[in-house]
Amino acid sequence: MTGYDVRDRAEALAHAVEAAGGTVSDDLLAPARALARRCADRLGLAGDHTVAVLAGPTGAGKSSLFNLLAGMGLADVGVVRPTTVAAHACVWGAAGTAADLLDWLDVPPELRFQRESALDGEDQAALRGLVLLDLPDVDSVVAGHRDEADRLLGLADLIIWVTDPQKYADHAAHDRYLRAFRPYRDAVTVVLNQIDTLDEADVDPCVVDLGRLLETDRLRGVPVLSTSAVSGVGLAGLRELLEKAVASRASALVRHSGELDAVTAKLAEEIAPVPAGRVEWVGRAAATVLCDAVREPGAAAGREHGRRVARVLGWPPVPAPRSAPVPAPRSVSAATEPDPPGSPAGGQPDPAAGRTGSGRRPEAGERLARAVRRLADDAAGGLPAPWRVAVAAAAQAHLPSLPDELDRVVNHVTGTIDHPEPREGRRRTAAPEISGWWRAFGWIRTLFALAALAGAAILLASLAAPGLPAAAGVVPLAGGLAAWLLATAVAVPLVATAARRRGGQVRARIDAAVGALAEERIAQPVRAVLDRCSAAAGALARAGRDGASVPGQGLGPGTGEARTTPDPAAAFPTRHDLT
Amino acid sequence: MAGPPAWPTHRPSGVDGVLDALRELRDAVAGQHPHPDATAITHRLDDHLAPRLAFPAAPVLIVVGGATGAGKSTLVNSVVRAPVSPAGPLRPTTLAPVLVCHPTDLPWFDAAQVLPDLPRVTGPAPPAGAAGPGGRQRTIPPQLAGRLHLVGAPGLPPGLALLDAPDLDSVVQTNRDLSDRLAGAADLWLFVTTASRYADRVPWAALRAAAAWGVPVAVVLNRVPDGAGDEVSAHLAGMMAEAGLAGAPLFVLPQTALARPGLLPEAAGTALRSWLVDLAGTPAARAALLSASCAGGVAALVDAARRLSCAGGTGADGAARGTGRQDGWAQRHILRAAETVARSWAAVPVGEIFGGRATS
Repeated sequence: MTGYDVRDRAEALAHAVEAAGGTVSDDLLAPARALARRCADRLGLAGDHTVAVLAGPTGAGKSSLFNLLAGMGLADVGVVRPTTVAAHACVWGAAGTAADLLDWLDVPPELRFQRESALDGEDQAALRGLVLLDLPDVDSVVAGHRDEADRLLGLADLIIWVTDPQKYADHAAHDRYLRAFRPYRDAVTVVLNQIDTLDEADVDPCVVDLGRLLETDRLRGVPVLSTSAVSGVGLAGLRELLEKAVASRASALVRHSGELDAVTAKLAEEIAPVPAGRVEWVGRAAATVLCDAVREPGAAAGREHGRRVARVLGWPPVPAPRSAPVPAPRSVSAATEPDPPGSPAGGQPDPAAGRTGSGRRPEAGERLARAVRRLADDAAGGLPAPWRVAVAAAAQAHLPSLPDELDRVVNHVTGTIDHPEPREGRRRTAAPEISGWWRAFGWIRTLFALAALAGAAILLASLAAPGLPAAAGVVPLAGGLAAWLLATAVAVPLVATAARRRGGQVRARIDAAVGALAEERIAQPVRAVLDRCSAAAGALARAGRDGASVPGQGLGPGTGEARTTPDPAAAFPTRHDLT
Repeated sequence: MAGPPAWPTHRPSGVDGVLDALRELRDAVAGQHPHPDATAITHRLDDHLAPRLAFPAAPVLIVVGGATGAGKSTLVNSVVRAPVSPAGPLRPTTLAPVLVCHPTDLPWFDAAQVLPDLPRVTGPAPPAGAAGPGGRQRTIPPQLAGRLHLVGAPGLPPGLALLDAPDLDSVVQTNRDLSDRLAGAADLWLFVTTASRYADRVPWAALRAAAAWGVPVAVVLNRVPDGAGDEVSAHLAGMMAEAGLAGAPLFVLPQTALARPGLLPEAAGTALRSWLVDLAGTPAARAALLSASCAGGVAALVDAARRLSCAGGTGADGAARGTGRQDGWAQRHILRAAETVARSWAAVPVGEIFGGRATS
């Protein structure tokens, strides 16, 4: 673990917080944001220094230990509680070395002391780089002390929690402090001071009991030292611990790394990677949902177009069974005509329409809303709750206006096929375009028909004027009729096929236009949320301990659900399968 | 003497009226939705006021309370002059409350007039706090959980009982709750603190709460290092005055080596012991103490009941906010009962209630 690792992790955490902002609760993000900033600040400052704090309840002997370690009477020691009002700092090293660090810690210059002078020689060399802070108490009636201690406990690299045989089991200390140290317990040492007030035989059981309490605080493995500031017992051990911490220069990293672990683990409950393929799936699924919604009107429009094609191609008429009048296409909003200009736009269901028989309007809208909700559920399946909410909101953002937009798309497609010009409130049924082959075929059939008619005319004329040979009329009549019948018999299936094909083309164009609408109105907003989730999860993974771990692993049972499921099918809900 | 009936039950006229009014108030409050104030009122009534007014001649109960490690048990042992309550270096030491009194007073406390819903255990003291090697399991043994341990000690004069309460700030939740409640059962709360503890926040909150409930308080400043007594006690006295406890007696005990395990040297606790013995044994002092504790208790109770009736009525407290007319009725009922208590108490000659007991 290097400083760059931890700083990179902090930076990644900041990115994750940024990406998740507005979706994940700020109660969760604010501490993470603060931690990211603090990591960057601390690790950017005087990386060679170790900030150790002496913290604990009033009267435990923090200031006495501070003075003993500093070898000078720097902090006031007294019997009136609480004694220490403001934090004191003692810096081991050349003068002015840790000034910016102390500025950051906000220790006023008059409370900063320099330990190393020419007089000391080398006996303090092992502590060079140590910034030792004597904090105010955490449990006295003076609330300001607690605030100051809390502030500096948040900034420390190494926490030395000083307690005494009277106070080691105080609920307030364990509940508010020791339990909260868990994420960075590797940077915590507990000191049982004042063991001179105990019988010698009681010291060990007392330390054991303190260790047991620390275990219930989930601080197993935290070193417990016993000291006496009066007799000097145990001070060598404490000093050695500080020397080791100074030598390793890793305390700041240990502490912040531990906190990053805890914060990322907590965030991982709310930020999880988006299953692979989900983003692509959304586009297809959104198109499917909207195409389903226009299936009936689209099909009707296609059929109608086909019929019109058949009418044109079948001229002169082929004996196609003419069905009843073409039923009006059932639109999504169930309005048979587009809204006349000046009518209220938008998708607000018109209560009057509901009363006057367009009863399908709310029903169709309801069906569409259900489908979109289901799509949102599936798109966010396996994601943590905040993202499910965000995806649902994004998917439904345009829902109110969608039915009208779909109608407009359908009408536009059918309108432009028939008529490039904008319609004027009325469905035009102009002649569809037809190719030269069809036109020639039509002319040929017309020619046959004319020949037959001519034959018939000659026959009639020959009846009236017997000079003409009847055969001159019979031949063209029979020949023309036979050719016409033959051509028509050929035309019937050809017309039907062409009509079907052209109808299908209309449907395909409607589907394409609706697909574009689905992309714009549903898929893009949803994808934006999923992309943010992916970005947050990726950044969070980089902020995790080994940078490559997938957040969500190592969580308790029941929180993993689908997001750690390797089954690729989980990424593709089957309900909207496009097959 | 054997059993509560043997205690003189003579009461001045008017006290019965107060008792009836208190009972009425208790019923009114008991019908209330669960509310911390309602529970506190019920406990204060059951644990202290009702038995105290019904049996004015019953022994004086002094509850010794304070934070963990303040030396409560050692102090009790020193006053009793026998190791009745286990003391030791491991915290929390006192796992179950221990009530010490003269053997002749045992039947009174065994009869569950005071703290009626706490089951009693009599016999030898609960497990000693002295640690075995390797540490011991620091959970409350099931046979002691939530029980009041009664110990007879000939070292105490009759008419005086000491209750060694668990820690105020214990890591054990039940200890904290029980400790708060026991303070309300006291005729006098003997608050024990130490030179290194006296400015701690949690005990001061308890001290203020006790004062607010009208419990007379005396403070023991224990474990004072040599030469620091004057400075520390002056500071503590200032803090007490600020908290409205200017009149409370303050005893300063020096940091000493223990004479025997769990006992202070004879000299250390003498002043405290003689003060306590006088308090319970001198009729005038006893009457003054009990009058003060009852008067304070009734006043605090009436205040709390008024607060409770307002809290429910205005919906200030979500938990207490009820629905509809029935609750409004309950609120008025509480308020009416509280006013009745206040009226009937004003009519009682307080000084006479506790004046009748002869020294025994």
